[in-house]
Amino acid sequence: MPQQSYLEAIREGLREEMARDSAVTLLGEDVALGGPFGATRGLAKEFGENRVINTPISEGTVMGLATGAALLGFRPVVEVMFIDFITLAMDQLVNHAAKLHYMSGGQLRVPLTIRAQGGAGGSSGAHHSQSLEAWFIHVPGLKVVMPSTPSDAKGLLKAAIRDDNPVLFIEHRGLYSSRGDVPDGDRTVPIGLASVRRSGKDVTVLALSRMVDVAIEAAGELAGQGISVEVIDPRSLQPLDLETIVASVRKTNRLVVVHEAVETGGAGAEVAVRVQEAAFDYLDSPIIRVGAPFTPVPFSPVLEQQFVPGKDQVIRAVRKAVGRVNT
Amino acid sequence: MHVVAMAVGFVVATGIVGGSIPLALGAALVCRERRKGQVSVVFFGDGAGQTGAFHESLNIASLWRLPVIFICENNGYAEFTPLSAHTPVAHLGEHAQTYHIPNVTLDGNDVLAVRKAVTEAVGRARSGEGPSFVECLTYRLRGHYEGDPAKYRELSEVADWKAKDPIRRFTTFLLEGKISSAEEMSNVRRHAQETVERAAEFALASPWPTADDLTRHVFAGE
Repeated sequence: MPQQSYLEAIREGLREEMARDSAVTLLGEDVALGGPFGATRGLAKEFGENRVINTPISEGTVMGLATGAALLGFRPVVEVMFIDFITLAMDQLVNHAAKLHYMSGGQLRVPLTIRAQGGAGGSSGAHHSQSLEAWFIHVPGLKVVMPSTPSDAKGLLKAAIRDDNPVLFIEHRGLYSSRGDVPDGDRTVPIGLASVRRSGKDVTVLALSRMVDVAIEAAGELAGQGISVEVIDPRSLQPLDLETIVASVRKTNRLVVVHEAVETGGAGAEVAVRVQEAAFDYLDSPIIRVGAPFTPVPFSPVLEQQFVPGKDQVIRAVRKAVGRVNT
Repeated sequence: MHVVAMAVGFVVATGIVGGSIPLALGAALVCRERRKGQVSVVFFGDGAGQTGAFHESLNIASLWRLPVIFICENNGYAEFTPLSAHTPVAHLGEHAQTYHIPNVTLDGNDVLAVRKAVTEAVGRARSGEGPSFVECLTYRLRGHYEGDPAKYRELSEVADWKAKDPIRRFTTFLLEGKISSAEEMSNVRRHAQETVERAAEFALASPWPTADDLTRHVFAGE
């Protein structure tokens, strides 16, 4: 199987969908030039600037414009350069894209994909580093996808573009250069299906986006301490594959939820309460969350390192879950 | 508000002031790329002229020469507040000038003047010359919402505008010019009345949604 980086897989997914369907149109700041990370590099040359459209820095109107084009049959892919900027597009995304299908009694459809990258790392500061997925799982009508591998990035992006609903596709900048096997050919990954990334029997760790790698690293170390960890990547938060998560918890009887977003009001809280509703009798210890502290993302590299959850925090949480806090 | 009638090309009317303007740009982009001579038209009030969506949209529409026609129904009040308390710009067509969009400010209660301006705008849009802005100066003869006592305006002002009622003026024009007979005009009025009454009867006779409908159409394809 060929190896690709996460970023290359995204570019390949876009390219294949654009070649497959002329309704697929990219919009965003600098996308015709490839964007700051190169996700759309070469696509304007291949498909023309009518389909890879550079926009002014007007996130709100670009989101609305893409929504309007989707209502009339286009399949726009909007790139929000940093997810922090999505705040400027909230009206169009939350009030229009998410709700028009429902408000029109099913007459209107919004086949819109929003690509946004987020996450901390590299001292990008509080306006270029956030993890905001929790806001969007609260909005009926939006799907929220967070791939952690190149293969899932490509397969889920292709599924998002073909979906008749608005899909927020959240990439992690820190994963762009990570490499992995990506199957050849026209393959989609269904939205709403979790992936068991490592099997184990003592504790389930549910991790999002870049935290999946952190959890797998922690699991490797914990194996050396005699603790067997199962790592699950939900891949999409909305819809959430509760079945796979609950099946794992019924086996391990313990759950740790890890995400880079601020812990308070984060997606982990939603997952935790849904798991305890579905599997309370199977839990042998309280569900533990690992997330960022309740602060903006700090600029200082020293503080940023403190802010982002790391392997040691995951290890501590797992050891606490199995009652081995001081051993 | 919330009206959708795709069968006649009416895409949507939103509850967010200014919110439909970017949507119209998206429709215009599709019209331009499909090359079937379609254009996009968006209606909004003077209150929308102070939103970011309005200014961003005028800029992009002009930059990309989108086939979109901005129709501003300037009725002098945004909700309860006169336009002069919201902006020092008396005529919102001035904003169109800033963004190099052909614009006209006209008597919005003059049916033929509006028709002429919009016909020209559609022609420009179809021939690839991009957007146009038509500011129609008008008034709302009733309040901002049904039951609004509208105490924020003088009764004399309302009376002045009632005298400029566009339907009455156009009827007089048709009758005085002997373009239509009194009988024809009365038929038109009756037909309109009956259409609305039938719609109301249909609505009242339609069943209420059931509990199952609550969660239908949250997502397409489910």
